[in-house]
Amino acid sequence: MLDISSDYEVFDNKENISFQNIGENSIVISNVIRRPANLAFESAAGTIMYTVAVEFVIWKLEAPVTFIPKLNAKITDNLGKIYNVDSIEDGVLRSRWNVKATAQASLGVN
Amino acid sequence: MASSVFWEALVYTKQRLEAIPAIPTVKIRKKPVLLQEDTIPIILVTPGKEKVGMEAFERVVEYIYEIQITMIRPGNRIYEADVESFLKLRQSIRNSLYQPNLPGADTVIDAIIETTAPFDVVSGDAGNYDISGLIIRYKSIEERVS
Repeated sequence: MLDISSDYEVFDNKENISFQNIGENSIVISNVIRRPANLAFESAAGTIMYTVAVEFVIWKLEAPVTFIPKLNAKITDNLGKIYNVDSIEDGVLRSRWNVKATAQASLGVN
Repeated sequence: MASSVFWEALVYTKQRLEAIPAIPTVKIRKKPVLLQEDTIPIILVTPGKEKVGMEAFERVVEYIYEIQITMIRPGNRIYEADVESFLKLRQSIRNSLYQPNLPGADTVIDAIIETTAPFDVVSGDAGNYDISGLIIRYKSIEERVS
């Protein structure tokens, strides 16, 4: 019989990230889900740049009670790639933050 | 057939930039495009507009060649470091390029420089790059065909 009890570990690809708001200590948050990254060209300041956008889903129960994600915060993934937070979707009754971030310059994507 | 004046201006501008101490890699490209394979910091030298300036008898004409210099560096949301050192580099670039002639491109007699903000405002997915631009317009005295 097919055992699907841990299917989320395969399909959701949960991971640990290190999250550091500016001026605060870094914390490790577990079971974060990463949405597919978007590697694209974008025009900025008269130049065509290649950029990497990614979205992390962070469960509030996995973070310390006092933790609040902030814009420009630094996210480091398991492979050491670093991203900066561009936007955060939140709501009072929501169980998670949807954090959209950009890879640091020239780091590419995992 | 000899190379065009525009191409010579690009090549010798690149050479002038490369003579500046501690200058990042300099590349001539059709357009200011940062590729995934590029290592930053990088300076892109690209051709811009070409205009006719003054005209004179004996088929003498002044052509103005515009070259765009684009400096791309990692910014990574660090907003208070590196300002002094970059302004110093930018000044060196300006002083190196802003000269009355361009050795190698013999028809060039003068240049005008225009700069953008040292740290262009970039948001969204390109927000981790620091981009700075400089346009140099070379005046070249040439002969019209007819």
